[in-house]
Amino acid sequence: MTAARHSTGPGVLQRGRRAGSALELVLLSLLGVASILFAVGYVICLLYLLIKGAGKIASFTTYASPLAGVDNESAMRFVVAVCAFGVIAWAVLASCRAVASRYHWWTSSVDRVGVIVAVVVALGGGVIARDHLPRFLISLPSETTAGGGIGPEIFNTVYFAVLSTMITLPIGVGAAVYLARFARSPTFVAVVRIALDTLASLPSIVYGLFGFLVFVVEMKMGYSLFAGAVVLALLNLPLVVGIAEESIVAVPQELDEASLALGATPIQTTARVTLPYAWPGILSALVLSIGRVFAESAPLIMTAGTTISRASAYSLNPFRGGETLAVHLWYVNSAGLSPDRVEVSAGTAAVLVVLVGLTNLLAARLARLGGAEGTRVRKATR
Amino acid sequence: MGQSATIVDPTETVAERSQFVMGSRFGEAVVRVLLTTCGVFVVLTTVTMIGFLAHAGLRGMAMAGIGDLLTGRVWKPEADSYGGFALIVGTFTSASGALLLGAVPAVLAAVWLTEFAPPSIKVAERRVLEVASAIPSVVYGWLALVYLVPIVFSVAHWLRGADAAVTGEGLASASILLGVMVAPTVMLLSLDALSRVPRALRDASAALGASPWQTAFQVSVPYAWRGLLIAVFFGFARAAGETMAVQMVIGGARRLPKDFLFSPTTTISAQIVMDMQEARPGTLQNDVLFSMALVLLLVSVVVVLATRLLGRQRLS
Amino acid sequence: MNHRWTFVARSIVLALAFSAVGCDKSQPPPPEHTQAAADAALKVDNGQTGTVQASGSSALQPLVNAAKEQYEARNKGVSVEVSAGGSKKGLADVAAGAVQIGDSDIFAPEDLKGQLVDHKVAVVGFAAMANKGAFNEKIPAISLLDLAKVFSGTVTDWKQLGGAPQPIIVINRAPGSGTRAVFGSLVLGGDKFVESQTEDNSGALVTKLKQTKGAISYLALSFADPELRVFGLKTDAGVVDPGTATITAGTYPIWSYEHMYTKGQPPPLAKQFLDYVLSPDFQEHTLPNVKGFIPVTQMKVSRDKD
Repeated sequence: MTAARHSTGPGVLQRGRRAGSALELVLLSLLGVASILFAVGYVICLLYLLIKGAGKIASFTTYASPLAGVDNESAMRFVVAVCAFGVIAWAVLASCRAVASRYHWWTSSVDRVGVIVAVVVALGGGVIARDHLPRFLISLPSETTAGGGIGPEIFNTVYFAVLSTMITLPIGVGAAVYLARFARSPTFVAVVRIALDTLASLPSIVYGLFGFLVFVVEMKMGYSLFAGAVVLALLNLPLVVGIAEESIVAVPQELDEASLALGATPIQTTARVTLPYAWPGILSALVLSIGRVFAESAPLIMTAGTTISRASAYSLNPFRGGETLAVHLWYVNSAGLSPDRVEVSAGTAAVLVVLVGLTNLLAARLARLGGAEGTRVRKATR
Repeated sequence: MGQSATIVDPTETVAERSQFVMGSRFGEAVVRVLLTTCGVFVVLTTVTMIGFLAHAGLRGMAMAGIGDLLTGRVWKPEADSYGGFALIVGTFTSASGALLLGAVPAVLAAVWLTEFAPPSIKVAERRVLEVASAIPSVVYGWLALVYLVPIVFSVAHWLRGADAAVTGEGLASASILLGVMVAPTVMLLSLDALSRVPRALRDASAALGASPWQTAFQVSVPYAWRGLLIAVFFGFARAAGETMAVQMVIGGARRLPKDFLFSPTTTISAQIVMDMQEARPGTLQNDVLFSMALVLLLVSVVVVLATRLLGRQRLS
Repeated sequence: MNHRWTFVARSIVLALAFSAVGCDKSQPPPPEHTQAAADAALKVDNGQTGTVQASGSSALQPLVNAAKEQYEARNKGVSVEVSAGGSKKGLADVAAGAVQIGDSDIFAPEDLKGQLVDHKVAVVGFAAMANKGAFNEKIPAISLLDLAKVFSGTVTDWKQLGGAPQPIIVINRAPGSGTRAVFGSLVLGGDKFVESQTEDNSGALVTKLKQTKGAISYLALSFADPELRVFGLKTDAGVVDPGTATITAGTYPIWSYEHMYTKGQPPPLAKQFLDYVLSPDFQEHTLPNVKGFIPVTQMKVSRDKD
């Protein structure tokens, strides 16, 4: 009986081997309990954070500054409402799919109807709930009084993710393709690899300082999102190039050779055969880089600043400054004077965790949809 | 290292001769140039950043003196005294504490997961760890500030007496925080390393009559030890370089801790963040911070080199 | 099959978390009812748009925020961004050109004096504040000399000051803090503080002082709290309690000007904001209502350096 419990997988040999001495069994159980408690600890912490943050979001009822006069604010409210309802609708849809597929009720037409219903619910809920959203998620932060929200910070965080990915994606994938397929001299490849390793080991503060010196001081742009996005793109470059290169190298050579044999040029081969095959790996690299964008605060303090401007809180102009959720979390605890610091931090941390979780989920979905199965993503999301 | 399949020339002549070539020679060349630019850009960026760091850092080292930077006891930029010993000790101690409290248990847990756990638990725990490793470090830092520091405060007073001059901030809190932060990543890397152990090896060991414990610790772990060591190194480097979260719980006293575990002190990265905000570019105060960043870079470079060395041996 | 159920479970948890958030039932207060909007009815908007950026002292922060609210209400298109970070950060930022106004509790250092233009907007007093306990209830005031000894680490127990035996725990401000610089130069003759834990966030510092037995630190008077023991100064003439009267008369020496520095002449929007802060309207009507700030005009003594 005990031997069967300790098998690492199917196999007669595993099931039939001897269980080990009593001491070993005891140690094993202890190790097992410790290991499970380990993971459970994280789950409990995160759930507690989510609940406490949600409590703060729900209980927030006073405004620090009037909402009127902030540009694009109603658009932002609509987007937040649609996202919230969209996520709920999607979760319900996925649960229905998971349950119903067991009983073979779920045909493709039912699926289509389900998707349409979900979209309608999301949009409709957005329109209805637009004026009744939890204020914490859309109002401006407050420096000295209680009742500040994190609306602009959420917007800036997502905007940063988009901006820095726009820079990292072409350069990172381009460099990876070059390293994996088109580099002619091995010394240059070695040089580039060393460069990437070195970039990866630089402390993130140095990037922040570099950005401060170049963009804020020398180019006289003041604190701006653009400087922050460039700095974050540089930070993520080694990660993206490394993983993308690994994925491209993992593409079977036969595929490329077949494509070339059919008359395609090397560039066409890369664009239409190699990259689509390596797409899940590249996607996972992008998701990791977006995760890093959400998490970094030190470089952003020096390049994008720690303020929210009432005039450009939700503006798409990348040359204005703005703080993100991570920066706000740090700022409120180290330099801010608001008396409800703990509650604001709890809400900010909860929203950050939800954002990270959603990004991971979304990426797992996208990876399964597109491209041939990249082994890396399969292992990562199994 | 992977094998790169460099596209060789003979195929180009085939494409040239073919009537059905769709891309233009010019288009090909343009794209090739663009791709090369990307590669060159990476190198240029690295050179610029390293140059920037080295220029200011070496200038700082020259003016403040390397010996004083590394072994001086008093860090007071406003009084022109740059003794970074306390900073270096703080970094190393908190990172080592993180190893003990986070990385080593993570490796052990990974071993249990791979060798002994039922597959469903393995999958579930892996999912949890992936989410946990993606959580931003400031969130962990804030959680530690609000929940861990008061607990450590009470423990400190219980251990040292109700009237002792101890605080919740200090190396104990920092080590626990860093351990919790690096553990998920170390565990995921260890799981990867252990999953590469061939089934045949385990089967052979079982066939010879070894118990699961013996198979795990005398066959699997020795086979995967390089990967496990890489995971632990990575955890150390991450813990040494962690900035914002540590700054929240380390206390910020620029001296060696009076009470080893429960007195405020500082680390290199926390001190750089605190001083960097008011240091003006071009002044000695600013340059010295870059010198300390160079010291930190040295630690990371050593770890990366060790990782590469270990990795290379494994493949050959 | 298993991973689907995990997924379902996670989705349910997420959905629950979101629905716990719920819809916000109460309506936002209509703009007419806020104080700022009531004031806005008094002034005419001159149609300007733009941003004014300021950073620096956290002691000045409450005042700048009060000014920002009033100013933004009167000039709808202008947005004032203020961030704390310490007086020295403010000075560094304005000298580097990252912000237009640098808030500082201290005079600019010699190497920056040439490029920065000083505007003194208020006066703030500072005091030593400590954890209130039985061990120091018999100490209403400490002499300047004794304060110096406490903060430089020479005196380490409350009994040496006349109280019960209890170790003194000094909590410092960050090295970049203007409060630390001012207190240091006026009490210790320089930054000679004993190296101990630093807590730069004034709110967190007040909480820490309330919770840590025997703790003492230094704060701007805006943060005085009835649950803390605020020490007066023991002088030859008796006990001098910190307050508007004693500071303006000059009998309580631990005070400093609050400076708003600009690099050379400020750009037009920043200049208008500064003009508003220095205007009699703000200085006489709003400033006295912000706790702990004194108009410069009321001072009967003056200084030209720290």
